[in-house]
Amino acid sequence: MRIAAVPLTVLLATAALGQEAAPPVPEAPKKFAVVDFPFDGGGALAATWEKMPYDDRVSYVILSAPAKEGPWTACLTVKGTEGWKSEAGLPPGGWGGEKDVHYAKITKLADAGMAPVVEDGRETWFRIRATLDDKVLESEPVAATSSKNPPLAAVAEVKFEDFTSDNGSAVAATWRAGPDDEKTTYYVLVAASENGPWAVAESTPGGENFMPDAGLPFWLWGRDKDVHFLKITKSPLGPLQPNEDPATHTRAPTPDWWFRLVAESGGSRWESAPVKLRPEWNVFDWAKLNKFFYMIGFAAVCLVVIRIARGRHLFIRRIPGLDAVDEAVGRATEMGKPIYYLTGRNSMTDVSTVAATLILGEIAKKVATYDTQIKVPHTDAIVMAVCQEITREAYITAGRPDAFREDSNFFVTDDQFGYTAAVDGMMVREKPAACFYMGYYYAEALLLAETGASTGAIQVAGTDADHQLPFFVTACDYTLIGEELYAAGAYLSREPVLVGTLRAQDVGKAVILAGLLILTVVATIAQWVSASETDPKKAWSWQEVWIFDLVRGN
Amino acid sequence: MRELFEKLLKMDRRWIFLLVGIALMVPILKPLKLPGLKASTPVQDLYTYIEGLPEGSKVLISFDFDPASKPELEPMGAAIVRHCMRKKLKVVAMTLWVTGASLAQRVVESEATAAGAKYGEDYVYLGWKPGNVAVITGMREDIHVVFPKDSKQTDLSKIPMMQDIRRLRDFDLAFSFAAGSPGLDTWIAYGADKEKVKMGGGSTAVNVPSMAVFVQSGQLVGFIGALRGAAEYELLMNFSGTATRGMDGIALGSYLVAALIILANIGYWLTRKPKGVA
Amino acid sequence: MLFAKRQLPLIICFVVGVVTALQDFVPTNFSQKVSIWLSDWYIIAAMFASLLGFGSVALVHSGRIRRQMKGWGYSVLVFVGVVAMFAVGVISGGKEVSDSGSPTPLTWMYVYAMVPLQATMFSLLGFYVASAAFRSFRAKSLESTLLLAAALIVLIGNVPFSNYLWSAKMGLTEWQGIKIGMPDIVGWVMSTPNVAARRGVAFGVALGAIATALKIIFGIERAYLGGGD
Repeated sequence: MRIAAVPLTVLLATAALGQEAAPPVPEAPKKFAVVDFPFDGGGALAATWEKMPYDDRVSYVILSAPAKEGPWTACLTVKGTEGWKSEAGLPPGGWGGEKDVHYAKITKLADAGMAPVVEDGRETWFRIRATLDDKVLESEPVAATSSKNPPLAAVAEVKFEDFTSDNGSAVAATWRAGPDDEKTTYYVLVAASENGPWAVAESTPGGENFMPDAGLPFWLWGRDKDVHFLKITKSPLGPLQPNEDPATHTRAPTPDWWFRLVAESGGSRWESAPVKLRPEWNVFDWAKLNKFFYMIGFAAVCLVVIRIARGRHLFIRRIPGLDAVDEAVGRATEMGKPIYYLTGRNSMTDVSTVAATLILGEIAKKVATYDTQIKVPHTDAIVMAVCQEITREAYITAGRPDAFREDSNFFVTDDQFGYTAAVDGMMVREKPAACFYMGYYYAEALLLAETGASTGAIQVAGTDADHQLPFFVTACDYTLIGEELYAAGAYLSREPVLVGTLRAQDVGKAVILAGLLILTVVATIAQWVSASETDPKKAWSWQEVWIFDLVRGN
Repeated sequence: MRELFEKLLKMDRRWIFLLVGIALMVPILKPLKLPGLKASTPVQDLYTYIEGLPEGSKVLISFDFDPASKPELEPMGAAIVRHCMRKKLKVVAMTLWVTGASLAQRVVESEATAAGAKYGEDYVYLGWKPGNVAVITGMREDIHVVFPKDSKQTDLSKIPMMQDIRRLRDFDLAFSFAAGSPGLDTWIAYGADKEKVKMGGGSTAVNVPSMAVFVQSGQLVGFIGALRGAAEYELLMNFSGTATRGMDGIALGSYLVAALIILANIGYWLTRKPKGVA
Repeated sequence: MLFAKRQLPLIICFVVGVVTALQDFVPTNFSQKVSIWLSDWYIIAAMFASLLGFGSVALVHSGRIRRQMKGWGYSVLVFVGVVAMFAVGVISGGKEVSDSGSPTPLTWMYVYAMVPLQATMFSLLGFYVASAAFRSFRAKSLESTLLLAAALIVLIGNVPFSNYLWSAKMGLTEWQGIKIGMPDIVGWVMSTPNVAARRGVAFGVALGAIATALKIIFGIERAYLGGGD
């Protein structure tokens, strides 16, 4: 059966290849719609329908009738290659300017007992008939009524301004919400010159996009829920700020742009006067002012506390994992076995790696004093180079430069599991007396620590990788959790300056804790108050409370 | 009894390895088809979100893993790509992990081919670029500068679907399937949060507890946690892939570890009692 | 010499540290370019350092071969591996798919050597988790009992079959208006105590990291340059 099936498939495939693409199957015109002709004084309707694949061979006839049941009479004929929506001569906005949607303006109706012209307020039925060769295809009937379109009331407080605290790529448009917002759609038009051509840059339904949606903090931006806001970053020609040329890495200067606001409701329209504006870049991101103050504040607290600490003895709580360093080094000396020290998987740009190298310095000093051996396998060459220097200096400080071995720090591979396999192998072969895992770790954490545990070594881990903490806690004798890793350098060296920064951290933590408590209370109250609000427009969430801007990231 | 437990507690760990091996192997050889799989809320949220995206929406998928995590993360990546293709979304795929470049390409290509999607019109694979965070921050400014060419060395400016995609904020949804760092948290911190782009993703089981923070805070629209999450997604997508097939193994493995922990504790208390008395 | 070894690195560190910190507050394109330049420089420096790494590997393993240390054969394999992978890369022209559309030897090495090797190492985790849990999860104190209970709940609760037994067979889905399905209980453990603890650790870590960074930028901590003051 299988053998027979193959030639048949081949035959079918060959037959399919020999055929030309089948011509499109004729269908009735799609999305036929008739609406009141917008922005006029009445007496006209606009019909639209989708371009069809056989347009070049078809002629369309629009039929009208006083009722759905008929009688139908032809009122307008359109060729398949003519009459496009973009040619309606209407301003940019809700009408759209599609070049592939047919359009016809209906002002006269055929007789057969009907008024010869389109009358305002009188419902008329329409359908479209496409004649293709000998086929006649008709759409479903639709009803439409023409009306006079009085001009829309002016929108108040229309403002275009440079979007604050950005790189010069955006403009902010704001305007006061109107009474008929539910039925209104707003368009921001953009043009390269005052005389146009104008095109829609952004749009919003009247019920959406208000000032709070800008996501800017209270010291820069209002919270008025009755004022609309739109951020404009692009024109139909491209972004307001030209893109960087990938070849030269340069950008053409931002040109002047013209903006205007358009409100449309039903067939009525209002346009604001054009405004010239060029988005400018800002030197300082004022939205990050809070962060800036925190940075300066925390740095100041650190420096002040360090100054105070110079002359005083500051208490540090016991960290058993670090007290075990002496025990581990002593054990290694007694057993004549090496100590393994790992600095984690990250590069020197990671603070936890820096902390790990600092602890290495302190441990290497003890190792040098006790005359035992330390091995530091690396997965990052820069960290290796740094650690080599640190170890050398530690031996010199301990008065044992002769005992320093150049190959105590060595590179293994930067591949995660290649490194793990190699270090596991070394541990199993050499059965170290102690293993230290300091720095940042990923999935290799348990693979290393569990292998180390199986060799019977004393194990001390220290990491700020919270997802690996459970593994280290399970497999190691001591674990430094999170910030204890950073504190280790100060703890081991007892240098007043370093101890001072620990105290500064405590001050920072106390401030955060107090802030958290206050904000939690505020958020809870806000939630209660908001929940009791019956008018949905007035309801608000805790995110809207201005005080949260102080901590919100940008 | 005490002696037995004493022995048990001192058991060579290779026996445990053997038991785990058996627990994982048996269902592979003879599937048990255990019932009870149901989509969890974060998985369902992600599925619903994608279902709600209109045709032609732009989706970025970053496959941030290497061969080591392939068995765990590839099934969810494949399921999401399949869902995007089914919904006719425009998919831009990439990776921040150099060792994952080929894996990502294969997942995208195979799912796209199966769905009959056209390269350059329905999907694009950008490949890998060094720089980690710098890649993400660069993509916020201009993707065409960070990736002047795609993985096939075609200029991005000549790829039809990339004409409308210039910056990170042009995407309607971004994903990262992450085995570590750079990964989901990097994308959230340096990309999605800054540009207000909706973010979804998945991670290995090890990272699920860390990612719970982002799910809880609403920074992720949905989340697929490890192989189980992928199996749940396959369930929603109505097909049975490698993740669904792996669920039996996970069930037996988890039960075995739980049983071992309970046994070890019984042993600990039984062997500890006399010490307490003395 | 001492200037090049001590002061110059501190000056570079201070300038780059301050520039990087302030860069975040300057939204201009130039400022973003500075950030990209700095990370480019780091990548370039890292590339040169990788030569240093290879030098270290060569030194260690050639020493082992020379001294015929135990297991020196593996050191030979290191060189064979490096040369073989490099050669395959050159032969393949650095491409994964040849012009004819077939996979290159580089792809072959990747798919059939690298992928299974890495996947094997990663999957060892499953075995190690079991042995580590067996060895150290003990209800020794109240805290460790809580930890143990949480671990068991998440471990068993994460298996869909457990929920099937719990909810469908035992009918345990709700108690006095509280949802007590397995996913609800696991979800609570993961999103409440777990997240609370993690956020606590995260605050400490973030402050510690900032303090350490400040120490380095202001030259208070200079041990990473080798030695103390």
